[in-house]
Amino acid sequence: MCKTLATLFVFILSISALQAAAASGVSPLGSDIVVITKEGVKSVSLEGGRLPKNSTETYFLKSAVEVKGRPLAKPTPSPKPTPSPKPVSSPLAQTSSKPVRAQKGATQKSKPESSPVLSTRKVKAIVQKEVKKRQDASPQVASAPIVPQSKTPGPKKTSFEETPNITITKKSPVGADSNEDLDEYSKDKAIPDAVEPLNRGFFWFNHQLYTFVFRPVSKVYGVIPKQARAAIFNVYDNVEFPVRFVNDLLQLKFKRADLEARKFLVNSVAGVGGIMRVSDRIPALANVPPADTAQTLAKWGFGHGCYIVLPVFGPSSVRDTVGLVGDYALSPVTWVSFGGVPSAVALAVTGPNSVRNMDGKLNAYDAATQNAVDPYQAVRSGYSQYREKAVAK
Amino acid sequence: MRSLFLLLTSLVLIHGRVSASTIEAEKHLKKAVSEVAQIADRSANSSALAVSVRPVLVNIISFDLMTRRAVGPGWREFTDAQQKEATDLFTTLIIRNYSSKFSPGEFPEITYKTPMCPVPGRVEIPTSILYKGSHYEVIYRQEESVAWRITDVVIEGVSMIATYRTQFDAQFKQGGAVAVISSLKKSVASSQ
Repeated sequence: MCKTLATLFVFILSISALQAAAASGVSPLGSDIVVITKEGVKSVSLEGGRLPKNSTETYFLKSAVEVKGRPLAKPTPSPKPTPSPKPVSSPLAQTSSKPVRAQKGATQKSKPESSPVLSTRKVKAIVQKEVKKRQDASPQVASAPIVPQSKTPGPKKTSFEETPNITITKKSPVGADSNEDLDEYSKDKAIPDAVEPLNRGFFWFNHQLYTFVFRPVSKVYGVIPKQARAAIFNVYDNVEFPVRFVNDLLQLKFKRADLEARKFLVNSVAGVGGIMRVSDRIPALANVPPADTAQTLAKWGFGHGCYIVLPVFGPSSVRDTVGLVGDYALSPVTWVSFGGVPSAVALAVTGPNSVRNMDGKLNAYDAATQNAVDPYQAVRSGYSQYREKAVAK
Repeated sequence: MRSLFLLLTSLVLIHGRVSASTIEAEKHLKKAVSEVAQIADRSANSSALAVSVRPVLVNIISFDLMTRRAVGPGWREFTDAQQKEATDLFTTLIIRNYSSKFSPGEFPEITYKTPMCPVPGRVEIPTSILYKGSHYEVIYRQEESVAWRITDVVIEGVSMIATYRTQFDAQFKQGGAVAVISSLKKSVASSQ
């Protein structure tokens, strides 16, 4: 068992090493590369396992040009054959098991093959054709046949500006101004803002409304003792249970819907109609993420549409505005307004619900805009990120 | 058997390294928060806090990295002098932004959750903050360079740097580095 595991581990490591070598352009075998020259096929001496630098030759795999049973000829440094073979530095020749026969093959290369296999004959013909082609060609072309255009030495450029379509940028050290570093937040996408001028107009209007109406109202509301304000907040939050529960069901989050139902029961009974948030003391019910209709629409695949700044309500999107309508429809507080109840009673019921959130919303608005370079953009970005997180929860 | 042992040992070592870095980062954050809490306790208002907390924040927040990331690829077009000016202005803005979150005498109750290590050298520490009766989820992003440094603060899913990035992008498109610096100057002056 252990032996099998060890073998498997070694096998995986070998595969990884081969893949890494292939990716880096290094031949794992080292000596299987040949080059076709005027003189014939020569094996290539690999420098540290890599192809020679700045080479303009075309390289072939030895197996692609090798004649079956006859290893390739040893490379000869000059076209004229010398009586005594020169020492060969090629790793291919050094590792060849039959050096004498290889030399013989080199001297007999012009003679027709006596017993070639059909495929071997074809390969031989290709090699000969390639050799002839190179002999016929001019030295400049022969030396650089398949080199990309950009690598051939062209006319001298006097400045970088003379090179069109090439952008030369100052290379920065990694960790300083590297692309990864600077593009860290490029993936954060804000909601498209197709009606920005109109939105900016409403943003300005809301800012005035918040400053001259909401803030004074919020200050007056702040006169009420903290505990009383907390109780008002809790009661309305508890009453709005259907919004969360129905949307959990619509998102097929049944476990969360169950938790919401338990939370409602606990707060309604033990918390005396929701005045106290007893659920906060129960770890399982303390942090149930609230669901809303806009989240449901997002889960169903609806995109944001464009960014909209609603008068009074503030930042939103097309999807979130539709969601807001859904939330109002599911809220029992809204039902009071449409249930034939006198308007004074309806106002008395809905009024505190509007004010209870005001302080928190104004704080969030201040946090986004106070030290912003462009308050409109800051609110838009903050809203986009906040809603993205709410949907992802 | 030996290979299996080596494999297991290397896995344990890698895990140990990650755990060590998260522990170190969390320790660094806790120390920083406690230092800021002590200063906030002594400060009369948020403006005074901004001044007194600066030397501490400079040692725990990587303002340099924050500024680069907030500006984005346009940063390369800034001259050295512009980069320095933008970093100084942005540092002032961030410290003021941070200080404005605190009211004297009221310091948040922070619960540290399990740190995450998305990539080696980076740690995200999620916290739950109870402040003025409201709960907030805040993630402190830290990176290890010379020491652990905070590189971003994400409050309720809203990244401080991503928010500034949106604003700087618009400024940079309008008028390059000059526009970014000018808007920073304006913002620093207006919020004083």
